[in-house]
Amino acid sequence: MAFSSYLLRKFFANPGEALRIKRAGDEVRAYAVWKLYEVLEESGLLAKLQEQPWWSFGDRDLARVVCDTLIAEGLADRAGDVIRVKRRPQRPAITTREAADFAPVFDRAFLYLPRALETGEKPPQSEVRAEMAKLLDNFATRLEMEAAVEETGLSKLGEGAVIADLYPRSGASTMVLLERTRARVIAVDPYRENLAMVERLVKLAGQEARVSYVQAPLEEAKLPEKVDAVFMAEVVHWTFNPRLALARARENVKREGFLAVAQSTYSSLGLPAAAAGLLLGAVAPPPASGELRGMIREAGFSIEKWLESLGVVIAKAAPE
Amino acid sequence: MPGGLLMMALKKEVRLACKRCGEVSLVSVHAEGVHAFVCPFCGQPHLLLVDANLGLRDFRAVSSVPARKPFDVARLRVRDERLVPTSLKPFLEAVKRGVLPPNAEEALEALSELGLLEVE
Ligand SMILES: [Zn+2]
Repeated sequence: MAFSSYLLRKFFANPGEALRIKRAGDEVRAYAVWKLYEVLEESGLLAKLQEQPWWSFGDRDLARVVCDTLIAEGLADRAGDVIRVKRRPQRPAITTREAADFAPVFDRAFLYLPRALETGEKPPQSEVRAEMAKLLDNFATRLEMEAAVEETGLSKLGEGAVIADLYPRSGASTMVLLERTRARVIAVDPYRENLAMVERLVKLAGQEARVSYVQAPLEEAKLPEKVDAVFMAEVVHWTFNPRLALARARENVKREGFLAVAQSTYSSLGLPAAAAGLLLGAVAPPPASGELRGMIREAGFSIEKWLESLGVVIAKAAPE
Repeated sequence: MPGGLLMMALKKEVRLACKRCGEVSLVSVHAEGVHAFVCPFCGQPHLLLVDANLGLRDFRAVSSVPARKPFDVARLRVRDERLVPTSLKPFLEAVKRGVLPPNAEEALEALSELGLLEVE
């Protein structure tokens, strides 16, 4: 297995683009953190986080992610179970289209943050459908998915190949697969309304012949055929039992097939993005990098490629 | 009344012949953009694209429209463009250039399901 930095590899191939991606990631992170701080301060929660332990808040996962984000960004120190704020972030300039496209998601998602932190109540999914769709379908998240398609070799599969696209939700991963590969795609999603949305995008793109649909929980999905590859884009922390979902993926992939993963982790950009994700439909914070590796291996895969940068992992794994 | 004059100046009667039953309806449009029209005679949904001079750029039968309001047209507008998923951006850009892409109704239904479409 080769561990390496995606950006470093990219830098050797295309230094200009690598630096641009780095800048885009840094801008998204800086904007999200600035917005987070602003919302916490205005709602009085920044003061509370310095008095009350993180575990006493209405939503503990969210409180932990918020505290860890401020600490990771050097804005606060940990003092037992509370934090001590030491400086305020500056509003960053946005110069990349990725950051410009992603920023509105944080503006909208963090409106729900104070209530969720205090009471544990998250906005109903029906109220934040557009925000959820945009969280996954913006130029920054697409860049991550496109890099995964390229680096794992999904883009090299032929017309006869089949890729299972697990939990596309609003369809960003499906569209990336249709645009960047030649394979057929099976969209697997537990929710009918998600599949309806994916189907609309597929029709709009005129790609009906390449896509079929399976409505099933990922933990139970039995596909009509064994597939050449399974694509999991930002799925692990949106699934109630990711270990079982990975085990099912293993059963549904051909012996000579592979698993392609694009996944944010509990670090860097993954942290503020996790705060937004938890408000818009993610069921847990994203896994730490080592935890993700463990999950993939336990499901019966051996990791062949592991690229990590800016809190995002791109991985390729083969059935053992 | 200046407002009334303005309204008159910015309003246009359009004759729409249903693509299915051929019956003609007279509707008024007062703004550019995509509009939905459901034939009052047979219920066939249509989309029309109106340009800045209130000229009819496109008129076509579609499988569905987000608005069902017989006898009149409903203007369809995006509520918050910043939240439009990247996959739907090419559609919006085409409409701004005055082109209604094939399968436009799918994009409009998608925007509607995301709560991003305003029906006027
Ligand atoms: Zn008719």
